Parts: sequence; structure tokens; C-alpha cells
Amino acid sequence: MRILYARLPDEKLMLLLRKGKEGAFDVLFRRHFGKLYGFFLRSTGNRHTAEDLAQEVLVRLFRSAGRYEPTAKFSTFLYTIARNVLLNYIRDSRKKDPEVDGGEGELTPFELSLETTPSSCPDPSEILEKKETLQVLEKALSEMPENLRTPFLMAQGEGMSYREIGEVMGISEGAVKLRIFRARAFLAERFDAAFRET
Amino acid sequence: MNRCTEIRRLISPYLDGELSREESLAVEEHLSRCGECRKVRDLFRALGEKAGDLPQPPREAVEKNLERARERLGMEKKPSLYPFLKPALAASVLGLLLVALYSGIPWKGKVEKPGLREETVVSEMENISDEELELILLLEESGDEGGDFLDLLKTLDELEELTESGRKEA
Repeated sequence: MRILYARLPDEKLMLLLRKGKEGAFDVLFRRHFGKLYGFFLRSTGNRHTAEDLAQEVLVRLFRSAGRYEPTAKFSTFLYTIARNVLLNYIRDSRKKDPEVDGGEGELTPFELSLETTPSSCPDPSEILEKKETLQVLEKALSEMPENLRTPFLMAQGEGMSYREIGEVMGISEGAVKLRIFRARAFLAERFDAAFRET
Repeated sequence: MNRCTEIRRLISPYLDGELSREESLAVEEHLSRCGECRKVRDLFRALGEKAGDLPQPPREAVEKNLERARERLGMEKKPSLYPFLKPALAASVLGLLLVALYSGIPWKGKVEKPGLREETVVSEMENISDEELELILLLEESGDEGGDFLDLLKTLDELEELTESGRKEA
């Protein structure tokens, strides 16, 4: 009997992975490599690094399959590994991550202005239409503190809930909510500055 | 705090589907009559869409990295069909096109739908229980072909029915 690995959900594939089924690894790898690559590319801005880090996450997934509890949501398990890999990379590359007071300090003047006088914020249609958008976005994300960027990308790119993100990062849902708002405000400020210059 | 400030604090979680029904309705009601707050919503939505559109790696990069990962994990190397597959595929497509052109086969031929049996297997695999998976693994490891997946499910159903009727009789 042949198991249709490609048709099995992630959680079941993890059970097979625990039993050393290589076919399950291949399916999980092909299913998640692309998303992890996108997450790391947006985080590091480098294609080769993104490939290496995505591969590293999936190798670690295989090695830690024994610790996976079938009741746990797969995406939470996978992105906990992904975040550890990213933090190790940031530490090893000695790239200084901007300090943001744990993401929960007082709102910046721009963040406050978004709440009170939005007439000063960039035009949304410009963001969708201007050809420089991708360049501005990549630069802004690479300069954004990791503890804002990671929850933002997990929510926007992966569609993860605030609760799941909180579990991955070891913070409350309220803190996730604030960090994602700040990430949006950070990008809005960068777009505002970039488009005002042009 | 005025109403606009209150609502703007909710726009980010509103876009991420993190508000209760009541909160979402309150935000929507306010947005329907406040242009400034709509602007913030549109801005946040545009930023989320752009950032969430994650770039994908080329197909070759996935296979190359999978091969490397398998090596790192000490798994057996798989014979790569890719270099042979590509020209073979191109030749097949060209061949089919030529045959279709010269034999008058209509371009939009009837597409065979997958049979009910196949669809059932697919949907059953997606909802497979841990016990069923264990049983398949046991059969696979023992080298017993064990019929196909639907037969196995039938056997499991019959077993369950027998157990159930046994319980009732007792």
C-alpha cells in the first residue's frame, strides 16, 4: 500500500516524520520551503541567505520531529524554529538590530499622528501604483526592528493569528497587536518620507 | 479620547480579522462616514498586501535545497530526473501538438474528470485518523500490500460495526 503523502495534512506528516519516513520530509520540505524563503528574504534582503535559512529550518524540523506534539498547531511549531534560526543569524552576523524598547514603549510622534491627524500620511494609491514601492518596502523592512517585523510578516504573509504569533514569540496577544500596529506605522513613515522626496 | 482615535487603534487588528463581531461592526459603521479613518484603513491595507506578498524561490532552488537537506540528514541520494525530464517533456508537448495539428483533433478536447473513487481516496486521506495511519504504516512495514486504501477503510468500518453490535448484544 502506498501512502499519498502529498495529500496528508502537516500534522499527520509530522507523525510519519517521527517514524523516519523520508517521503514525509520531502513533502513537508516542498510545501513549506517557499513560504520560509519569502519570510527570510523579507527579513534579510538576501536571496542566498534566505535559501540557507529556509533549508536550516526544515533540517531542524526533521531533527526535532520527536518533540512535536500532535495536538500542537504545525505552523506554531515551524515558525518557532524559524524565529530561532533568524535570531541566531542576526546574532552571528553581528548585524545590529535597532532597539525598540521591546516594542511596547510610548508611541512615536508619527504613530501618534496616525491616530490623530492622518491627513499627513502617504496616499495608499501611491503605495499600490508607484514603481519604487517594492524598493522602498524592502529597504524599510530590512531596517525595521526584528521584534516588529517578525509578527507583522507572520500575520500578513502567513495569515497567522495574533494568538499563534504570541505563542511563537512568547508574548501576549495584546503585545502582538501593538507590535503589528507599530510595524504598519513604521512602514507608513518610511513611505511618507520616500514619496515626499520624489 | 475622541471616536476617531479610538477607531484608528482598532483598524490594524480589524484588517487582520482579530476583532469580535461587535467591534468589527463598530469599525465598519464609523468607516462608512469618516473619510480620514478610511484613509488610514486603506493605507494599512495597502502596506499589509504589499508586505504579505512574499517572493517565491525558483522551482530549481527548492529541489537543490531539498537535495542538500537530505544529504545533511544522511538520507539516500535520489536519482535526479530533472535534466532528462525537461527535454523529454518539451519533446512530448511538441509531439502532441504536431499530432493534434495533422489529425484534426479539436484543441479543447474532453477533459476526463477524476473518478469518484479517486476523489474519495483523496478526501479520506485528508481526514485520516491517527489509528488508520498507524494501521497503514504497519501494513506497509510488514510488506503486506493490503489492498487499496478504500478497502482498508471498509475493513475498519466493518470492524467498528462488529464491535458496536458486539457491545449491544452484551
